[in-house]
Amino acid sequence: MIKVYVPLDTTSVSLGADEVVEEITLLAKQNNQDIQIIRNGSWGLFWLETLVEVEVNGERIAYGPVKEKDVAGLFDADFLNGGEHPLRVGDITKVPYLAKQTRLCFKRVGLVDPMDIDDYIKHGGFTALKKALFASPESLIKEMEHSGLRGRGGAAFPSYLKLQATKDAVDDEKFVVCNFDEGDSGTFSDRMMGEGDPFMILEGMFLTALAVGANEGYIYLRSEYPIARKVLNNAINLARKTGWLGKNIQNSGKDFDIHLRVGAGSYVCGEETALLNSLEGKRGTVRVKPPFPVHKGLFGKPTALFNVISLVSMVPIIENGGKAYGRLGYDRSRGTCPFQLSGNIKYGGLVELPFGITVRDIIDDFGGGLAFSFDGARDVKLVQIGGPLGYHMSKNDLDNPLDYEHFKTLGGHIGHGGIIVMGHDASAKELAHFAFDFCALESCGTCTPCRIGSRRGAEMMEQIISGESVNENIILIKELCDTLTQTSLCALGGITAVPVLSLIKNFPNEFEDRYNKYVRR
Amino acid sequence: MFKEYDFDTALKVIEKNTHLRGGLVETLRNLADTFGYINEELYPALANTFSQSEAGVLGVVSFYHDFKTKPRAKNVVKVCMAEGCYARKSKNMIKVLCDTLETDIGEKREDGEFEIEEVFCLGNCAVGPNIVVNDKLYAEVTSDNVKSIINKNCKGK
Ligand SMILES: Cc1cc2nc3c(=O)[nH]c(=O)nc-3n(C[C@H](O)[C@H](O)[C@H](O)COP(=O)(O)O)c2cc1C
Ligand code: SF4
Ligand code: FES
Repeated sequence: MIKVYVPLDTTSVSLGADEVVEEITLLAKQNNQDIQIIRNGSWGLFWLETLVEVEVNGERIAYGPVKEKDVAGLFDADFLNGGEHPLRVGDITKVPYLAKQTRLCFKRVGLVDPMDIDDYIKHGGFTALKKALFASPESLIKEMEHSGLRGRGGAAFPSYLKLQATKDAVDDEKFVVCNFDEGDSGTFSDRMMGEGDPFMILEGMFLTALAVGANEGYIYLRSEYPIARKVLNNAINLARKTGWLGKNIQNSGKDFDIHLRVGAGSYVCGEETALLNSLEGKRGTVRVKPPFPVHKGLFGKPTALFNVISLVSMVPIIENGGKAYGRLGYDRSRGTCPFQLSGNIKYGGLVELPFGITVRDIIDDFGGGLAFSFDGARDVKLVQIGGPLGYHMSKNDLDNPLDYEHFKTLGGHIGHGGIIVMGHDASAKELAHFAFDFCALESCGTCTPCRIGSRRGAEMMEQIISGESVNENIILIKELCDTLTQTSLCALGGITAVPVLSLIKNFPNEFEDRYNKYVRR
Repeated sequence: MFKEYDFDTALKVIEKNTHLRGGLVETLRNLADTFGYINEELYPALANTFSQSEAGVLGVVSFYHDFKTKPRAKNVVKVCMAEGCYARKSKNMIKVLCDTLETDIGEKREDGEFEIEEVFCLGNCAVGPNIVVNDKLYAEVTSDNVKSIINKNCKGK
């Protein structure tokens, strides 16, 4: 039987992977060829999707991008035996895009069958957990401290401090929560992890539970990810059946179980306290801190809440030691980050690298430049980093290295590592309008400047776009940004100013008052 | 895509979740997944099950974008309005989409055939612009191919 891998990943499926599977199945039957189709995760080289891999003599030969109509030709070329074909890529791991990466979190994504727990174990899964089941919480937290890991969800808070505080909290019940809300536009690493290697997320949650002394965990998944929902559900069920979740796990005397909950299309529910309210069945409004979730979190109990990528980062840290992990990185940003490259770019995808690479290098070396031109211009106009509340860099900023501190100095943040590249068809004014509009739409309503100011901001941007009172409106917008920054309870209102002000600063000629200029002359 | 709403089926969905801790959002989720919307005649039952007032239930329903209170159109088209897709020229495509379906973003067409819902990022940003037609996600949607994608996937017109 010949093994054929076709991803079940959202991106692959959106490009026709399911149709490719049908066609391969049909033609294999007609040709009397005995095949087994495995739906893996995506390797994250999206311009090659749908990427079909065939296992020949224990080696995997890739073909891509395969469309339904290409399948007959692949059979003619005897692809099931690795035959020559214009779409033949060969060994995918030798493609420079992948070979140049440092994949710690994503080391199994693409490689394994995400629906099969044995395959996970065969590829080194649960090694960290087996170690941790018999280790002390103190020693686990010590490794986390050595690693220097900081939260990948956006706030970049040192993860070991959160573990320590939750462990130190005394209560009859504690929780681990996995933040799988991934609301930032331009980000998809959580999704790819959930679809490509779900057991690693469960393992990370379990490690956290052992460090803090929790017996129950929740995954809060955004509703926009139906495939991840299916894969995670399957993973949880399999783990329960095989004794990796539930009572007395692997005869260690430890209990831990995980529940999957699906969100309801609210961006602000990615904020940790809004998420907790939502998990409790309430409106997803932001809570005042303190008390912090580590003391009073889910159902008022101590809760260790982490982003998906923070959780999976704990697996290599416990497996190989915090120091080994902490040797990678740049300045105070330790370890690797799965950057997500998208927008107007030729080779969009997932790029896991140690912190410190410059934005330019990632765009040129990995991205290969822009995908579409505008009026003949093929150069980068702007790059937005860190989601809808992220900083808009002009092309003069591109030599900044990707690390937390550098971006803070710039006035932005890396957030969840999303990098959106735009060409000259993008309009700074439209993007500034979008930022206010998004804030208005997603505001939880607690703070007046965020709830109402954002609407006024959007209206002022509409006036600017139509050329009305441009200078006056810009002065007011700057004041409004100041108010939002100073008086917002959470970062939604608090950093909506980041995209707006960076656009005004970096693209001043788009915010010029054409009429006044004319009068002055 | 969605089941026709009926009270008894809905009650069964609610009953299934009575044991869930803080289960109101999850129950509304299941109701929305089943019928496409939350019928207001369920508020008393929901309030009862999750020990709160009907106003409290309405408060939760109205907070979340996914919880609609009116029956959905026969065909629901979701379109990504966020920056990743914007960078890949979603603007023109969205205009053609609205013209084709003869309705606006966030609106249901009068005859109940089509509805366009705005969403913000589907996690498919590298290959946008993206739309979801009756639960099926399409990438690389352009002003040229959007019409044929709709025609292929939608009943009625
Ligand atoms: C408006 C808003 C949205 C957020 N969305 C997310 C999200 O989608 N995923 C996430 O992990 N963190 C998100 N965060 C950050 C969380 O509040 C929290 O800092 C994080 O989940 C903690 O996990 P970490 O320490 O692993 O980063 C958001 C924060 C704000 C203010
Ligand atoms: S800043 Fe906005 S989203 Fe954040 S708590 Fe205030 S109103 Fe809610
Ligand atoms: S921005 Fe449209 S899918 Fe992410």
